Amino acid sequence: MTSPLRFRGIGKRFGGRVALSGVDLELRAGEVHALLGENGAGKTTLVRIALGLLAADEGALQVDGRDVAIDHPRRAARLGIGMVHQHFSLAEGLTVAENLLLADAPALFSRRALHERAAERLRRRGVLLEPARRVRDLSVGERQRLEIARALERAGRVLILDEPTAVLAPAESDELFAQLERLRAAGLAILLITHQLDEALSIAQRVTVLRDGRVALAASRGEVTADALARALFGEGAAAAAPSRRLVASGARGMPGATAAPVLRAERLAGERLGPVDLELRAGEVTVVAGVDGNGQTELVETLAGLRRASSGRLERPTEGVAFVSCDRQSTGLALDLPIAENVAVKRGFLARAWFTRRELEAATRPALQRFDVRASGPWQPARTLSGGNQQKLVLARELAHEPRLVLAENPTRGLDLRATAFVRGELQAAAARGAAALVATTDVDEALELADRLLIAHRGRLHPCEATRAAITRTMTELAAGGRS
Amino acid sequence: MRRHAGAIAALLAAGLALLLLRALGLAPSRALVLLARGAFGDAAAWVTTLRIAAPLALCALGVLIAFRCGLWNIGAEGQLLVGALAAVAAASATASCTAALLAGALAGFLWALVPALLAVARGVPEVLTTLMLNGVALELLRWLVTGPMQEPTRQFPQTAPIPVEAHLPRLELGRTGGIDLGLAIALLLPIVVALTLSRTTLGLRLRAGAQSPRLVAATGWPLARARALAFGIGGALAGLAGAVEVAGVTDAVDRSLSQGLGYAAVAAALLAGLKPMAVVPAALFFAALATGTSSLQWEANVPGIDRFGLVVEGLAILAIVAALALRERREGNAA
Repeated sequence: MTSPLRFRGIGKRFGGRVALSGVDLELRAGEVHALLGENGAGKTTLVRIALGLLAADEGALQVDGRDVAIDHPRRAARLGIGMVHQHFSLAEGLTVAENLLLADAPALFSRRALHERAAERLRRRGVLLEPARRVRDLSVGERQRLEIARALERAGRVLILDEPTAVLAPAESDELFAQLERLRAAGLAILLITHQLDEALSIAQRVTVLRDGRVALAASRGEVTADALARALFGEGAAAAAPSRRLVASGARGMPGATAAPVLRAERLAGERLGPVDLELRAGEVTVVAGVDGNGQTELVETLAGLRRASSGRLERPTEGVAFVSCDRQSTGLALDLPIAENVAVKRGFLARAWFTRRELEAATRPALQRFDVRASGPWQPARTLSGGNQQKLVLARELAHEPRLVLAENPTRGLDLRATAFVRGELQAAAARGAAALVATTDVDEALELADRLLIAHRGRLHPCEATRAAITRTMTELAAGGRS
Repeated sequence: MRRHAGAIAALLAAGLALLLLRALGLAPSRALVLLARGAFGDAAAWVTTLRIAAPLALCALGVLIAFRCGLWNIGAEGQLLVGALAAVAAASATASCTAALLAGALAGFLWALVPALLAVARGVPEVLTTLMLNGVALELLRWLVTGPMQEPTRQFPQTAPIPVEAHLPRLELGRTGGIDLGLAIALLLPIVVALTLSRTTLGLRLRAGAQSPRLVAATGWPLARARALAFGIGGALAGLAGAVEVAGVTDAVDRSLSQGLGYAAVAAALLAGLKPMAVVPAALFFAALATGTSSLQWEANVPGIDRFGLVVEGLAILAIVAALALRERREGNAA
């Protein structure tokens, strides 16, 4: 049988580090293949090799049983291999049709012809999008559908998706899976990179798990359990040793928050895409703001963090001891080109004087880096070289080391693997248990349920109280979407 | 490769320029000999080269500070000119070289503060404003040297020479003129800037803010103000270069003071890989090119040779940009 893409014995080294070693993986037409692995296991490297962004040191790529050299993304596209990245690459100011077809449009074209052609292509792929709409007006789910359609436009045999559900609300995820199922049935080979075991088991026909650059498990869905997958992901026994955060977090919990003075108080707070919002955050309490992306959570957290100015209303917040944990490690959480130690010391409270020596900088940041288990070869390594999980630990080391009074977090575990996710959630709860007032905005319902002492649902810039159960969240979100509650 | 990107780019640019010269009929070996002799052939050549290198290094350092804060300062030329004008005024009024240097730095600071404040407070692109203010500074100079600040006889479009007491202290070297305090300043300040950037919380936060402004803003530190201030200090260094030029070399200001030092400074800062200590050799390279080219012009009759320095400047910038792009690609691959 021929395969639209097959990796044979792929090996790749970066300097002295082995990123991939002897990786075999065969994609078949008409199947969804889940690729699992922790941050740093080699998933991204493998995919970059298939896309012609990296050259393998060993092994070969095969298309239809023949060895091929993929040395450029254009070559990958010609062989039918396309990808949808986690960070979308759409032009915000252009229309759906323009984003879909401009790359291959002739030098002169009429707008109407372009829109007609786009409508026809979208219809054929079962994507319901109006060609004339501007991308900036689309929801995240709609953007993702457009990204998929565009990838298929350029390369029609293999579709690689990098954690596509990380940015979606549950209902949108279901729609995505339905779309993937249709594409699969039409004969496409789909490689789905994911951290979610249940996701892999529910929609993939086959699963490959990478650990430390090697294939730890390759199986069909019927042959494998979630337990076996977890063992393959983390190694034997490691799954049991995963951090048990409830132990850390218990004890001080359930502090009678209502009697204490609030750490943060917002009254009729409003701004761009926000409010009016009334909010009180109390010491020892985790308040979760759940909801689909784009309902004002980002604006809320940034306003509370002092990064955005409110247009009206009152905000009382502490000016010292505020921790801010963002999902955007690239440009808000870290300065990636700067060394690890400097990324910590940039916050007040680490360095005693306005000037310092290298040794003082190392000494001032070492305890935090050790406590938050940031794994690196040394404090002078650029933050860029860390895996996603370690990067977020680095952010926590800086933000939580000095017992903040107020913790503000936005999707703090987005893009992290299971272990790093558990670590981050555990540390957020522990900070609250030690007396911080915490607000966590998240699109992940599991995260909301796990962390919330108090749950609010964000909808169109406003906050609606909700009971912290899965059923209540679904019910409230449905009601809000239908306009039943205001 | 990474560490030597600047040196490699300089060599590459010089090599390409020599090939161009060859196409114009001048053998590369002979051109190199002439360039080297012109720049470093004797004491007088050394003195001329160093006199250009000193203000160039100061301008490059000023440009570099802005770059390291994530802002573009293309306005060193204008900051140098207003610095020189202010230095003449202060020197004439006080007959003190300290006052001249301080006035030059202050004028450069204020001249740079305008685009800096516009950039951080209103988002006006500083690349454009600094570049346009160069033109404004040049017109200001033209007006002043034909109007309010023109020399007493009113015959020449230039200022009166500054009093002798305001000249920079100079180490006389026979008949060559000697080197002045400007060189010492140009050697000392890169150390100060390097230490400030790498070993102070101010420098650390400015560098972090250049890459992730929101990270620094979220810590509650007044990043915007600090950036504007740092940008202004960069302008002060360019203004200081103007004062050094006046109090050390030209004595008076006329239109010929604008000879592109402020633009060469951008090339020098990039060639230095934005490392303060590397600004000195980078400035020396371009200064040697300038003096070497004038002797090349003297010795070899090649059309357009007076533009040779500019050609190498441009090629060096291109080579640096290419080296940076290559590096980015390699790093992108490693991620």
